[in-house]
Amino acid sequence: MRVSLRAAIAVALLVGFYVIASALIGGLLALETYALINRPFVGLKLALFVVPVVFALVKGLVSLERREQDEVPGTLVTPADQPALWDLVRRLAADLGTRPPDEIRILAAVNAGVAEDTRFLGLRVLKRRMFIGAPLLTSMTEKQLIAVIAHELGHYANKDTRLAGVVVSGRAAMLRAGSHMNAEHWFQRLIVKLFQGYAKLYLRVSQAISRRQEFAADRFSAQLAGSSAASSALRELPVIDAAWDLFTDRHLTVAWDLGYLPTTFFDGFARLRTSPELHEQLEQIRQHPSDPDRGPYDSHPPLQDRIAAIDALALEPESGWGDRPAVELLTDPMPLLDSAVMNSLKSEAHTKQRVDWATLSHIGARARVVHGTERLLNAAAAAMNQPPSLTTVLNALDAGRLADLGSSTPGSKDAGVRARREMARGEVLPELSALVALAFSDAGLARWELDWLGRTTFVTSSDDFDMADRLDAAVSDNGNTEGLRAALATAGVAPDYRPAH
Amino acid sequence: MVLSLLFKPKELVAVIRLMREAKRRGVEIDQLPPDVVAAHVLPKTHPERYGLVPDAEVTSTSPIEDLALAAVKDDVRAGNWENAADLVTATLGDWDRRQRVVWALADLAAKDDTWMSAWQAARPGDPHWVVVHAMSLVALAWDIRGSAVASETTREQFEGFHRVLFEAREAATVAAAVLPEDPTPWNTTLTLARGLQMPHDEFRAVWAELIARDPLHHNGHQQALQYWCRKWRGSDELALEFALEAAAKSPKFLAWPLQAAYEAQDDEMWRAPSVVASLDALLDRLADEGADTYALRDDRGYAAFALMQLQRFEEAVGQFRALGALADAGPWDYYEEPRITFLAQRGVAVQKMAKGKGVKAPVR
Repeated sequence: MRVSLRAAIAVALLVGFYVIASALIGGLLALETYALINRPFVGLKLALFVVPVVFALVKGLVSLERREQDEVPGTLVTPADQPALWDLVRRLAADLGTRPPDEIRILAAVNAGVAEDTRFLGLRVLKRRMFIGAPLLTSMTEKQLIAVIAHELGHYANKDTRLAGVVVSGRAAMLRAGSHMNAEHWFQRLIVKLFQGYAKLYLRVSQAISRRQEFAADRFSAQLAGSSAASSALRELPVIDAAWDLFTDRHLTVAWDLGYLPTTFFDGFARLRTSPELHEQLEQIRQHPSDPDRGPYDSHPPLQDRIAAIDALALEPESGWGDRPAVELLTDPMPLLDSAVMNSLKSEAHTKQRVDWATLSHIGARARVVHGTERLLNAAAAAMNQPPSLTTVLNALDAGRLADLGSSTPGSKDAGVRARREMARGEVLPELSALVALAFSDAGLARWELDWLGRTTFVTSSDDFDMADRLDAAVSDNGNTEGLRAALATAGVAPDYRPAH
Repeated sequence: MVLSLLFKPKELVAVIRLMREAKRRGVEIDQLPPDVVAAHVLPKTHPERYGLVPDAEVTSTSPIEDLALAAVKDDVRAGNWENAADLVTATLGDWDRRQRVVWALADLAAKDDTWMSAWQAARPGDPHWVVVHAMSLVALAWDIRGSAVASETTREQFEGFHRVLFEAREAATVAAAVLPEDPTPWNTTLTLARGLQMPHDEFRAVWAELIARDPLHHNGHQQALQYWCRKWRGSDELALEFALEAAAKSPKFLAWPLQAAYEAQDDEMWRAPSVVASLDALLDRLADEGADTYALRDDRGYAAFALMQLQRFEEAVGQFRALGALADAGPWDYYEEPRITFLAQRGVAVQKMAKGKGVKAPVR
């Protein structure tokens, strides 16, 4: 099927949506009116059916029309704030023959895109916004960023058919169909199903157009930035994505849960991306790029196909773009990028204590260790009927209660007390070791370091923190805790030491 | 597992009866007691007509074979370790018995080692204590691991299993150093080789140490045969090769090739001329022997199983006759319900023989 015919069908479907819904509402209301006038009793009964249906249909239509009341994400940058970035975007829009965005916003996500506020299922555009992910700005070269922006603007620059742009806007609107409905109510659920069924039909009809458009957008990207920059940008996206996931999951989230945030975000991200411990993993992703999960209605062709298609074009860049880091396009970038991250967080972000990265890594690692000692402290407290503390654990060991400090059961149902005790030994030793390490760290004699992969190392200032023998003696059958107690006393650890959260 | 073997399409009627029985008792069919299931599905034969013990008399409990060992086990359970320690000391030189005594005591020590501590405190440095201790760690490791498949074994169980096996290995090394002529610590290392996935070269070195001390160590050969099986570190071929070599060394190992074939679960291997030759030699040897020891019953059990595979039902019935009421050894002890497995096999043998199926017994 020719693209223009497909596009025409798609647009007809968009319009048809309104026509059918309006006709249905009108018809039902007419029927109801007719019934009420001629047979009031039947009319009243019919109203029980008609009123909820009309209500649900109207609500459904409104849901399509409702502009997102939610706050638009990202940090707004005006042309006055960031003239170089705006000049670039405007120039690229002009090159592609599409209108420049009305707003540029910086996001805390590995993403870039153009989104529009539309009316009538995308048949009319109110406002065009460009979003650029802060991690892209700090991780890409200028050329790669240009490739990304050109691709996004390219979606709206299709000169083959005027309708194609409308089709793309319509997809976004259709995906929202019914999203504001009340799923609890079965009538509304039914209408949602109807709307979604229609939406699926539309999405299927327009899928081929969208797919073609992705390739077309890649072609624009390659024309403006050159094939090598465009394909390298595509390769780099999964790498930045993986690094950003690691950064948020193993560092920001951990800090957040403990009530902290780093004083600055992107110096940490830059160090993570270039850290030796991550080099191999990221290089692996760069060599074998795979598609991120973008949901069932995403229209992007497989990344490998897109890279191959761009490379096959072998286009030279339109002009001599720089190889400098993209972040140099920005005036005073760090406050802007960090504010994009802060804006993406919940409002309580401002209540978090801000500390430098070294402090944060110690705090994060310590919290994890504290968590790992809770089971032992509680088991000892229960066994000895004493408050949970390091001393209670040692008392339990000296009292020969090792077996009661464990939680796992042996595999054989014929196993005896010895098997239980042996399993408890394997469980208690690392936990006791962590508890003692915490005591030393809280006494200021040691600390933890967290590498960018999220692995912890215990660092001591003195060489004589080798507790292995004393820990072994504490949990062994013929041993005792004397050596450990002596070492703790020398370090100035209080007898009732218990790690604070 | 045993029961599914019995449920062939022919036995559908029995299954239906079982379902009725289960319904009557208000339980699921797989929750019926094994005896009830057996009563419905076992072949209906008249064992006494063929000189066999009635079904009801068959038991999987071993009679006491070593009175002294049974006595010290009772002592140990009562908390008295002295006689046990003395018995272990007295077995020095009688390696097969020593192995049995050490294993039985190690098994008790794996459950509760209070008496071991008392022994160690009273006789510090007793080399025989170290021998029992090393073996008890192997038993302890398996108690921690359990016998479930890997996916149903927890991380803690695996960690404990490996940790304790490494300790057992160290202890066995110490024991071997303090009693240089004793093969028992080397057998301990052979036994734990499977759990630690010991490489072939290393295993062969341990094996050489064992047979240098006792070339015909009975349990050592059994442990090594297990190691060479496909399910551990070897293959069907390696296991058979090892078993045939052992059988060539001594007539007391003639059942090993049958065990290799049993482990292989391969019909071809049962018919291999070398395996059949081992079976015939074993039958010749057993003709002059009873079934008084566990080892003899083990040999007869594998012989009976092999004869069934080769359709030599009349001879198989002969082995069941010799076994009498005791279903305590191999291969029955491999199954959850040894007694029922024994009865099922015996019933099939009798039925087929009565119908004149299979190969008639040769005149010996």
